[in-house]
Amino acid sequence: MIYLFGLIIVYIFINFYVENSLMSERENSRVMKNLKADYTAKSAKLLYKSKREEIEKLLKNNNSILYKEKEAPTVVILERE
Amino acid sequence: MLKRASFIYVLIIFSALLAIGRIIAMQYFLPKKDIVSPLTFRFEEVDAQRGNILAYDGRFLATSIPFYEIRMDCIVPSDDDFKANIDELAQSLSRFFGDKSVWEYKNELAKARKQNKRYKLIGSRKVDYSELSQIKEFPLFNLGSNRGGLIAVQTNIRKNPFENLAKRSIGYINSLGEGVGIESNFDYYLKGTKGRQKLQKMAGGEWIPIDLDNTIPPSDGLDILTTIDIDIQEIAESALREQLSSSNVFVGATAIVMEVKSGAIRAIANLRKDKNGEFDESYNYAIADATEPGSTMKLATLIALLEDGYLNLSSRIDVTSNTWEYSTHTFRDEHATAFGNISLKEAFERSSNIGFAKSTVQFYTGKDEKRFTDRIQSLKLTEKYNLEIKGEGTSVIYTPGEKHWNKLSLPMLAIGYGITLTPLQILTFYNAVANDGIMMKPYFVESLKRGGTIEKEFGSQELSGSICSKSTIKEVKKALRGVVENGTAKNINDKRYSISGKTGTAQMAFKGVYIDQNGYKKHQASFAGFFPSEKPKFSAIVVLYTDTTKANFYGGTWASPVFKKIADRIYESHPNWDNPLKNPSVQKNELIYTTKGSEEKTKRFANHINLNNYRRFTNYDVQISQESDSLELVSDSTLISEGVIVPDVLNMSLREAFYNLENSGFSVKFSGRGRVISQFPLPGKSVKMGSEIKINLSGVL
Repeated sequence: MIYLFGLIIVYIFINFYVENSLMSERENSRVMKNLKADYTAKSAKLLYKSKREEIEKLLKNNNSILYKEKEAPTVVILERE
Repeated sequence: MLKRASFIYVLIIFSALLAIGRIIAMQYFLPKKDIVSPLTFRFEEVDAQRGNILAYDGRFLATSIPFYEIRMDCIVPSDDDFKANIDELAQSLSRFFGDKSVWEYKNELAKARKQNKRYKLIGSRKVDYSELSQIKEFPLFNLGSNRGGLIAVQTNIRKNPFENLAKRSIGYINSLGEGVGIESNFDYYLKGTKGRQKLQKMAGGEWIPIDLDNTIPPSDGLDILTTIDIDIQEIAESALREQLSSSNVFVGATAIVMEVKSGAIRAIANLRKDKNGEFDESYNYAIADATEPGSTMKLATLIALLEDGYLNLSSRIDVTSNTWEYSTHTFRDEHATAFGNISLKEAFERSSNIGFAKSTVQFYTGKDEKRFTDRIQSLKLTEKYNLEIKGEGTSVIYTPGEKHWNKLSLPMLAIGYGITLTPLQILTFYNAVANDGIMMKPYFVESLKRGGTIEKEFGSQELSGSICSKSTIKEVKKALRGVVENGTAKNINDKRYSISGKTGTAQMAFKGVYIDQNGYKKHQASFAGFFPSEKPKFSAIVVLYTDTTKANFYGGTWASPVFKKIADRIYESHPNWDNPLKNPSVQKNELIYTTKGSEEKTKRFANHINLNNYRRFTNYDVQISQESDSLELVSDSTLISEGVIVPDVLNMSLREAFYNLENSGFSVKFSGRGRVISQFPLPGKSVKMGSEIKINLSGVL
């Protein structure tokens, strides 16, 4: 009989443990989802700033000495000796 | 006594067995519906994430971003909490949203609490996640939703991170499923399918998913990888806008850039003047607006004349007068003096209406009219492409025997009237010439992707055989180059690289006439061409449309400068114009200047080409020069061809890891599912470009 009670206690304990794990899993996925949302929103904002014209504007506003290229870049192939 | 104890003992055992039996029955035998109570169980639909629309380099053109509506359950906070925090909360809200004063917020919240409002809307706008995090820290709300009453209602909002860039091509879709562009036409792939799961309410009021075997997970929408190049799209739009702003008479414009070999559309800009006088991407001129092309059509006539063997580029044509009367019409060349006796090439370069109209009449009049229209049709000008974007305009060509066909139709067709074509059709034709006669189907969508893996590929498609013989293509290419070197577009001739193309100035019919009784007309100024002329890589067309005006708007003056700006940007940023420089030989005693760039990379590069004598100017370079007047530019990525740093993808989903690694030029091998728990080589290691990165994923963090 004690053995049976023991089993019931173990059963209840395992059930609670599983429930707890499921709840923390759900909480974690919620956090992950929120972080992903944060990431997407921030990267979308940054994307606009990555536009060439936006970068040129920023450079100009910051008195940068960088200038716009007038010549096409040339590919240099380096052959190992 | 013993008897009573035994009885109680048996009773307890019996009850225990009954309870165990019931548990077993509930767990395994009783039908689930018997024990489901709506208070403790419910079903929930799980939304699928809408796929992204990506530029050809993977940057987002459209993505779904969660935004939150801020609401408050005003009866949740206790009296003490409410009184203690309301002033500071009102102050924070007023400062954050800036739409109401502190006093107004305070009054509103107090009033809502009195009225027992449980869903009070706060603020004038939705906030993003980082703003929500700030709001959660406001007094009262920082006590948690069970004490502070903050409710954040999430909605996904479709955003175009580049705002108006390629807005019309990206398109939109409303809740009724109506829309335009890629959003609408690829909605089936983008929207994914919703999932469904069963939830059970646990102690503490938390709902958790159960019955995982029967859970239907959502299937996220596919990402659409388009052919759009953001940089080219950007310059196409800004160059058009700039040109449109220079005269009030313009009502719209379009520019399309195509990759010659594949037919991939790298940019498609459409601007139309709205009722406020602003230009907006509200109408797809590029694919929908079939109009009479005018002089850009002379390329087709030139091909016909050469292909049928009637003339060659040096054949002489009599243009000794700048008017020519034929049937009921007087053909004119918009030139102060007559061109004289000129070659066919010169007639093309100067866009002589008389030269082309006369030649066509000379060789095709009478029975041969049909031969001319058949030849034009064999050039596949009026082809319909079944584009991924709906709304293709229908082109029309009048042919002998039809009721619209008359004596004037032949010479008019030769100079681009009596046929309607969309800008995309004209460009596809010019692109075919650039591509040695092979016409490529224009396309906007490269592939459908899930988490970085291609699920369906579209790619380039050839529209059957060559449009004409190789020798004719060779000849017309000379003539197209001549237009820029000596003709109507010599204003865009550039020493650095060569452009070939043709200007077009067409009068557009309105109210049934080309010029009304007061002398007003509508123009369509265009330029179609390709570059570099020797090995064409890109073709493009620019068309500007005017409102009624008495002035003339020529393609050479208005459209070709826009074309040039687009071509310049592409030239300045694409490294494949000339033959690659192999092992640049540098004499050791020459002083090399580097103006910008990472010192380590510059040193590595210098060592590689046995160069020990160089001087640095500043710290940020991507170029190295031998002499100040002969720059040899080296892209940053070329300098680091030896080793690339492995990015850190730990904890990312497979999709994010794939995106990051493939974007950095690695191939990816993965095992497991969930999130990345290990990667090899380790983050920060320098490995060869294109190396394989192994990642292991697991559902357990």
